[in-house]
Amino acid sequence: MDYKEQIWAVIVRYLENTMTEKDSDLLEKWLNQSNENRRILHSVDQIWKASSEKSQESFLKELNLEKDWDRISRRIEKTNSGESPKRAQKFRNLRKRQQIMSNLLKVAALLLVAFSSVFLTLRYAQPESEPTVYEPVFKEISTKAGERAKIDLGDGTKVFLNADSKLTVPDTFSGHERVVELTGQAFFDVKPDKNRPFYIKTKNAIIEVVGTAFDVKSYADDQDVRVVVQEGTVELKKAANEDEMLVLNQGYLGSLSRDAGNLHIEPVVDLGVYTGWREGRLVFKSTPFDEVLAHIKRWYDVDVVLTLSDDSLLKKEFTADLKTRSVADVFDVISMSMNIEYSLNESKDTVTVRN
Amino acid sequence: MGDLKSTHTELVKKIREGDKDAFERLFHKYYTRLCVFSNSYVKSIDTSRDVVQDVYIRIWDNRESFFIKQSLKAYLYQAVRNQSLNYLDKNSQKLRLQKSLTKKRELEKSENDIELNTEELTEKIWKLVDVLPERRRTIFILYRKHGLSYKEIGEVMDIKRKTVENQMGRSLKFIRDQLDL
Repeated sequence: MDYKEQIWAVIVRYLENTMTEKDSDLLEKWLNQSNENRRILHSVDQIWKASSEKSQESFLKELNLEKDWDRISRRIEKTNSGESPKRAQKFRNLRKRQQIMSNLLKVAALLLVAFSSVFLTLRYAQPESEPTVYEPVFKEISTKAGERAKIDLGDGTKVFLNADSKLTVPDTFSGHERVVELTGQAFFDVKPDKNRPFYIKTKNAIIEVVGTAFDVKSYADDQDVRVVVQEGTVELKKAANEDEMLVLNQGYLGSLSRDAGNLHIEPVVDLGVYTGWREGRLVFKSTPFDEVLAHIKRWYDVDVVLTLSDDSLLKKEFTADLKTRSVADVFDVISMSMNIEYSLNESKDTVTVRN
Repeated sequence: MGDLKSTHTELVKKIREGDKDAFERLFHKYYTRLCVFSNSYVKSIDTSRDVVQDVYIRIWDNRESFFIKQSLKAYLYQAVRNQSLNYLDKNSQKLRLQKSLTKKRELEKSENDIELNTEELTEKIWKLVDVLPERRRTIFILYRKHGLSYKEIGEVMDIKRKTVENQMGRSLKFIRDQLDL
């Protein structure tokens, strides 16, 4: 390393009192080298002292906090009542639409489950033609159980985030790659960009895409990371060793078992099983009962209490395609086909299952 | 530290839920220093007020998605830096001309005299800071004027702590070379 460059970083740490032992050895050696070096340190000390300008008195006098707060206050009142920004408008429209939908469904005498759907449109990356716009940073979007979110990443990529999931995105994508992190489940519709591959990092796995639509399921307590490709091609790699990977084409499911680290590929007969959640469908196909319950817990934000005489029930498989209905509706179907009994408490947040 | 962080998280949460009182607290807590910081870019108190007010209004308008990963302080400084840069971008031609003129004059002045008392030295240092490249200037200002830690500065600028140190070293070297102390 260049000694001259290095010594300035050491001097900075000397001023800040964060020198390491190596730093102080280096500084001592350097000081002993010449009078000039000692003079340099002395003058830097002076600069440091002279630059510690804490008071902003002249500035403070010119600021009128009350007046400035009034100005902000007036402007936010205005946006609240009349011309709200586009994004907020969109949010409201969505709410309205949900309202109408839910009324319609009530008329049809269907019990509609109230799941709250959060609509966020955040801008992360700027289109290249426009002048640079520096946006405040939004880095983490998460949904609670019972919530879902639709996120626009600004580069044309859309993400549907399922319940109890978290997506972490950099404030701006870099020029040569787009990297996001996922815990939970999400459907990605990635805008193709040859020069900037899209990566999804998740516990134990990395998923690389060029431009395609696919579903990733990787909740923290899942045994497998699962990717289902609807369109295009996706690479599923082990995080520990990126050479070990699967190339998944359209219509294939790839999974990585977290503990054994096995990669597995199989063709998908019915894509809807994996992507139906986007349209508000609960789809199970030969799904073990314990996984069904885990899914329902996230979907409806309910607790499930099991009082079972026989644990083998948990591995019994269940198949159904249910349009979004109430928890009770779903358990009506389950209880018939699985031969169990259930009860729902009054506040409708706990289901007790018996067999 | 832990307490401070949790009050900040609480404040952010309240704002996200539309609590205007919480938003007013955020205003009083940071408004002045953010104006001081913006002023180091835009060189006008009135413009800096506009810039910082814009940042606050944006936060309120986008409050449903007001999620913060780094510290609240770093977030605000970062937003103000971005907004100030936006302003400068928009007004670049006019400002560039003004700036290059003042830059030259100030540099010429600083080369002349050698003996300085502290007050003069302080003044000269800040004039030299003004002509540093944007990143280095911001780092210097955030550290010496606003008392942010290197870690916080790293968050504001989205760079590594080590880079902050290196940039700081280069700034000091530059200032010393110019002052010829």
